[in-house]
Parts: sequence; structure tokens; C-alpha cells
Amino acid sequence: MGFKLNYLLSILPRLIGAAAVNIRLAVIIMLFALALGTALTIVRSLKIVAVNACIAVVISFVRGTPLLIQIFIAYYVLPAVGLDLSPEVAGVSAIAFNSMVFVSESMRGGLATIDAGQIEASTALGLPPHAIWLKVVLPQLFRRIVPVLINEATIVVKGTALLSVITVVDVLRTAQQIASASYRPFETMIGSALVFLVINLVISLSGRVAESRFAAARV
Amino acid sequence: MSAPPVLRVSNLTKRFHGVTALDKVYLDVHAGQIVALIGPSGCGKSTLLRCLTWLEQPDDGFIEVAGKPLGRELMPGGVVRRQNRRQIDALRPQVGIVFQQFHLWPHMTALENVVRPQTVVLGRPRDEATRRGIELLTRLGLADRMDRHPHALSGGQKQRVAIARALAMDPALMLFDEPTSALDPELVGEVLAVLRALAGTGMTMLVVTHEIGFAASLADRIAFMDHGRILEEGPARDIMAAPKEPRLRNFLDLVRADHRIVTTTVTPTE
Repeated sequence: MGFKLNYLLSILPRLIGAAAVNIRLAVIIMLFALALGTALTIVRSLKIVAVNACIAVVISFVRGTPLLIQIFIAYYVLPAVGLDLSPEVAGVSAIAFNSMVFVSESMRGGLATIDAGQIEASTALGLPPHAIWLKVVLPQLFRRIVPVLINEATIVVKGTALLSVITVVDVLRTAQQIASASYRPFETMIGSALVFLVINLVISLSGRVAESRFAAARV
Repeated sequence: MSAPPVLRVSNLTKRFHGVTALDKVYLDVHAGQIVALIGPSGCGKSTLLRCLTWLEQPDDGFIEVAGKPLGRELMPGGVVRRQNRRQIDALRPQVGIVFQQFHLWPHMTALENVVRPQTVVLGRPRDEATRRGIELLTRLGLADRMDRHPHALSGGQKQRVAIARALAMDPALMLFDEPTSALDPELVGEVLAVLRALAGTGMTMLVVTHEIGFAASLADRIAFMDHGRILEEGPARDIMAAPKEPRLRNFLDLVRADHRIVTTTVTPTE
């Protein structure tokens, strides 16, 4: 069975339509990951020994187990403890939780590069702790970790393809449905790969633009 | 009895892991005075400044700024009550500090560095804060540098932004930690001019320095510190001309000898 460009072009509209699902989920996941990752970073910076010990266990679990298993846990195991989530909600929760840990880890690394003197100067001026985080630390931290966040965003986009296995009808599942009807896996898989590639190229490029703008401000 | 001093430090003691950094320090700074705090490195000068902004918590003793207790207060009946962060933060704008390394916020322009603390801490409307910021930066000769980020400013300019940032809070007292040490030697005159101009406005200042000439030409009073204690304090002229404390005499001899060496190496033909 050879490769037919015409067939690929004919199924692309359906795949692109399904990409809306991946993009929507990826955006929601990244927003949650950023918010939760920031919150987790702030909690960890309080250096409460017992809390940080618990967080360390969670982090090692998230980093040490496959994302696919984490998605299965959210979808198949959580109902056993009374949390019956829809496929999309379960998937978003699992990937956002996973991504939160990576966002927080990179923020923690960035935090070490922010000069403590600035925080002392802020304190001496009378800025309350929440204002120091919001006005001084986080704006600088986010700019510094832009490259890491861009990388994380592409990982999240690819991660949304995994949700096809818990019945979310995304690009990959759409492609599989087309392939099983037409027996043409070649074009359908190439097509879905192209869709992901284009999304991630757009993310990488916009990330590079943001980086060069922040580099111009040299912060 | 006249008005309370702008700064009153009494019995201030600070220990780091058993090492006494401040040993029962007493110091009064009155309105409009410039006090230079001199002493060998490691004598506790910087620790004292850090305690005065509560960046370092003293183990004992009291600080009063414009008559109000900072950090810890003595209640009737001899009970010592510790203030919470909110109470301390409320008093902190009263004490402006200019750090050795300035510690400007690198992600904000010079003007924004001066405006932001006014809006966040004092709750000033943005227009008013901006007006005040422009006025201060212009007065300090930075009218054409206001839109620059700190990385695009020279050391002297950064210092003046840091001074404007502290002044914008309308402090009762300004603290300077080694204002000449992070700058090129030829800028010392410039710093002196800025601090003198500030003195002209009646600002009360406490300046930590190890440059005796700088202290003598700037300050009304000089306090000499060694091993965490203020050993001698008095009018600048008296301290320079007739130091009583042997350790101060030693210190002055040392720095003066040092100064001669520098002068002779710079002009070896003379």
C-alpha cells in the first residue's frame, strides 16, 4: 500500500478540526500547570519541613512514573475512591498535575538565580511578602524560565495525544478512526503527526520571539 | 525637653551563633544631622544598619524611629512585646536604606523603580507617584535616564535611582551602607555632592563608611565602632582632631598611613 498525497490532503480538514480539542485541552492544562506550579513553588519556599517532605514524595512519584499510567490512574482508579471524572476532566487533571511538578521544579531553579539583595531591598521598603512575590520575584522568574515553559508547553501538547486512549476524540483518535475505516494508516498517522508538528512549531517560534524580547530588556 | 531624636538606639545587641556582632549599642541621631559610622571591617557597622531596617532581628535592645518603637516595644510594667510583620512594615518606609550594591529591580525602568513602592506600600495614586518620581530623579540629575533599565545605567546612576527610590517614601531617616565602596574612586566626589545636596534639604542621615576623609568632609558627628560597640561618638571635628579612645587613634593612624601610601604610589616623583 503506497502513500497517496491526495488522500492525506482529503483527511487533513478532519484532523485539523480535531486539533481544536488538543489545543483547547493543552491551553487549559498549561494555565492550571502555571497557576498550580507557582502556588507549589511558593509553598515550598516557606520551607516547612513536613510539607516539603510530602511534596518531595509526590514529585518523585510524578517524575518517576509514566504519564500514561498517571492518566489511567486519574480515569480508572479515582472512580474507585469516589471521584468519577469525565475523560476530558480526568485527562486534563492528570497532565496538569504532571506538568505542575515540572513547572515548579524549573521555577525553583530560577529562584536561586534571583539576587537575595533585591528581596531585602523590597522588604526594607516595606513591601509585604505577597507584593514581593507578585511585583518583584514572579515577573523576573517567569521571564527567566520562558525557554523551559515553552518546552513544557510542547510536551503538554504531545501529552494530549495520550488522552485518545481514554476515549477523548482528539487528533490521534480521529486519525485511528479514519485509519480503521479506510485501512490507510500511512496517510492518517503522517497527517496526525503533521498536525502536532505544526502546533509545536508555532509554540516554539512564538517562544523564541518572547525570549528575544526579554533578552532585549536583559532581565 | 526638645523633640525626640529621629533615631534612638538603646542597648542593641545581636549575636550570630554565639559571636557578638552588636554589643549594647547606644546611638541617637537628631533631625537634620549627618552621622558617619566608621570602624574597621567586621566591627558591626553593617549589622547595625540591617537591624535598623529589621532585616536582622536584634536579640536585645530597642530602636525608636521618630519616637515610634520599631520591631519590639517596652510595654508598661516592663513587658517586651514583639511587633508583627505588618506593624514593622508600616514603619519601614520611615527608614530609607541605600545598599552597597543598590539592589534595584532589574525588570523595571529607573522611574518604575521609584514609582512602584509608592503605589504598593503607601497606596499613592499612580499619577501622584509618577510626578514624585520624576521630580526626584530630575533633582538627582537623571531626567534623561528615567526610561532606562538598571543594566543600562552606570554605578553612580544606579545609586542615585536607589536614593530616589528611598526618598520617594518620605523617610524620616536615610541610611547609607558604604556609599562609595561599589563605585569607581573618581566617583567619590560625585557621591559626596549628592549626599551634601541631600543634607541641604535637611535630611537626617546615618552613613556607614570606612573612608575617613569622606566621613570627615560630610558628617556633623562621627561614631567609631569596634567589636560591636560604639567606643567614641562626637562632633566630627573633635573626633578627627583629638580622638580620645586609643583604638580610634590607632584606626585613624592606620587609615591615614594607608592614605599616604596611596598618594605616594600615585605620584612617586613628589
